[in-house]
Amino acid sequence: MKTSTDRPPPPVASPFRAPARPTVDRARVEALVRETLARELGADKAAAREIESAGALLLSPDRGVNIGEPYDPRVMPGILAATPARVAVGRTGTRYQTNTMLRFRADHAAAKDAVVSDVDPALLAELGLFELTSRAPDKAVFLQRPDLGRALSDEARTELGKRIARAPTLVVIYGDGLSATALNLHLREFHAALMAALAARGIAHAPPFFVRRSRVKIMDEIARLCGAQAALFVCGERPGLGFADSMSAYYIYQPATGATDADREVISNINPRGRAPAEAARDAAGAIERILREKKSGVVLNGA
Amino acid sequence: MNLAATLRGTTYRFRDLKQVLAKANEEKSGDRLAGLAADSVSERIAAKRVLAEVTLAELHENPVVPAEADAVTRLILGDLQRPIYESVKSWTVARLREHVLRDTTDGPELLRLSRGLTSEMIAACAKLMTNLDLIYAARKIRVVVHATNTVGLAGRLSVRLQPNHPSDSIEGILASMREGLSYGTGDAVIGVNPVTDNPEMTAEILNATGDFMRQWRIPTQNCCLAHVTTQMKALEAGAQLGLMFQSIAGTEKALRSFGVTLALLDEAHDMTLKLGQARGPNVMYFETGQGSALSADAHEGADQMTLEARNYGLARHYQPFLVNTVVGFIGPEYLYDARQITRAGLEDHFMGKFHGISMGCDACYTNHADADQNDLENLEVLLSAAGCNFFMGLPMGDDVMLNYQSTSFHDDATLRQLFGYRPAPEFEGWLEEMGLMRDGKLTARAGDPSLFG
Repeated sequence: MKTSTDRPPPPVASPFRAPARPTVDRARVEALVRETLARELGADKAAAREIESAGALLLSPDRGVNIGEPYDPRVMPGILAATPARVAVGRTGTRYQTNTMLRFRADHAAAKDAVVSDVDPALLAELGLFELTSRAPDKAVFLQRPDLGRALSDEARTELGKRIARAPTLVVIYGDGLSATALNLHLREFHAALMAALAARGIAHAPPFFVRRSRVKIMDEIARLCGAQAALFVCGERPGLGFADSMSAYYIYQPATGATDADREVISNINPRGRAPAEAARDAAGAIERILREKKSGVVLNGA
Repeated sequence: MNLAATLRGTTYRFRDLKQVLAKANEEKSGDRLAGLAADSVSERIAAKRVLAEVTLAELHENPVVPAEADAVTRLILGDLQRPIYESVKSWTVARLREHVLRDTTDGPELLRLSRGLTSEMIAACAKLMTNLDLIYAARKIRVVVHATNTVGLAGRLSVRLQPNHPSDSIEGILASMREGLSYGTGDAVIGVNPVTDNPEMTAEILNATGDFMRQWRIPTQNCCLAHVTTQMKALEAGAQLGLMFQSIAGTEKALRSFGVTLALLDEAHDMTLKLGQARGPNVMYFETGQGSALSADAHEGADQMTLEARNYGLARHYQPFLVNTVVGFIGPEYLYDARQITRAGLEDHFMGKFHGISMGCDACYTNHADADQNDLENLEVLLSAAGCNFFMGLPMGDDVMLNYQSTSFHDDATLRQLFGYRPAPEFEGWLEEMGLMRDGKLTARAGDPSLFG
């Protein structure tokens, strides 16, 4: 192994070219920053953040603002517009400024809360969904043992047999997955649109239900237990820092034991900023009609 | 071989050495998921007691996957320096641990010795070490490598700039890259994880980062973390590639699930030496992480820490420029909380360095793991004390493409300041010429991406 410390040729005499403007037009920079924020959050939300706080403290904007007077104000709006990453947030010493640190912690808090919170039983009652549980007895075990989240508890198996007549065309299952927040926020809209779309297409289905602490592959076991032709499973996605309320809808045709992800199709990124829940529900109904007709599933439609 | 130990009147018996290796591990959710973990703390300590008396020869004769069934085992055994192995094969694991920690054993001696050790021996040693043992022993070892610049010198801490973008926008990638460079990061590599794994996108990313490096005369190397076959196609088509990347695993079966064979890695290594931009001799970049073989259902009944050591046994064959354990990325099924992530990070770093490879760590966590930013910062400090070659660098540590949190540009700058570490010497010279660093400290100008207009 070499330990050479050869230097490359020296750079150009003046490393940074002269900024485009000698003085900063602060009003213009601020206008551009606000424009970028509005693009990221949507005009309504960006405005609401500022206006509807009723005097409560808001997280102040950091990207492009904290840095103060940039070296080249002409290029800064382009940098901010090019990426959702937390760039141009400035520093105090080598650390974050306080508004930046708090914004980060707030985003992480939303993600954490989404993972550990529960789907509201009142919501399930409102939608007329009955509830089963997986083999995972609590959240901690659920997170450590994906195998337990992929199987129904003994009581749930018995209950399933009582509730669902043998061999339905379709079984509709909801699960918390890794974000209960996603279901709490968007299940109402998704479920209503799905029921309407399935009815419109004349697709018969078993009474829909919810499985607490469940993972995707539990749909395979459920479909086999009740002899369904197809299964739909909708659950919360693993939250990112910028979002905590995204769902995915998975569907499969007659899953055999040992079915893999290649046998399954998915519509992901279901949330108001990505794929609208009602629209995703209608797409899912259309896709289910297709897999029932073609008697196969397995073309991955990532986000499509 | 003795496979039983008695603690306070209770005797614990183990089936074989493979089971001893697994049960001697500190608590990891992945070992429990695999059904390999110790049933009680006492059983864990009994396994360590048994392991302490196992000889290096017994570990040599009992790899966790048999040589006839596994190409990784054969590679590790084939690379062994026989005279060194012969000189220590009668040692117990306890003796190896004490030799590693002894005042008179220095880094060069450890690097010499490691050529006669298999990955199972190094893993066994680490299983008997406490966190501070792992930090102290790793600190002794310096692994210095060269591609376009030099990583691993004493008093240096390098950073992989990771300017990912959720839709591979070139302008978006360059925005994060500008920010990172302005904080003095990017000396280990400027490495982008692409969303789209095809040769065209890979070439576009490599050429964009490569052009930027040329325009600003930045003495570093670039990389696009697509599949190795994708990068080879881009390289053959003339893309500006500095380092060749691949994720690796500790069994042949797991490697295969990644679409990789040793022959393919040989071919990629040769091609990078012939067609790549970096002078070398070190041109490969590997990523690893405990639990990856189990998640591919290819762990062959072996525990995740021993398989991780075998990653390093595989890696050292290619004298890589960088090996990065992505320690908290895999999720709570394998490393449940901050305590397990921290332990795994320290184990991996020590085991990698003891194998003689240029070891870095993606100190990170996902949002469903029981860990947060404070835990991440703790691990960064521990690994800095251990002499880690490099960390990641992201805008506030938030990866907007892979959706997890890693080390931030701010953290990298803070760790350098805290420990008095400097960037790679060639890169430090460039930062000084840019007016971004003076006497190893960032200047007032640093932290402004608009500098690179």
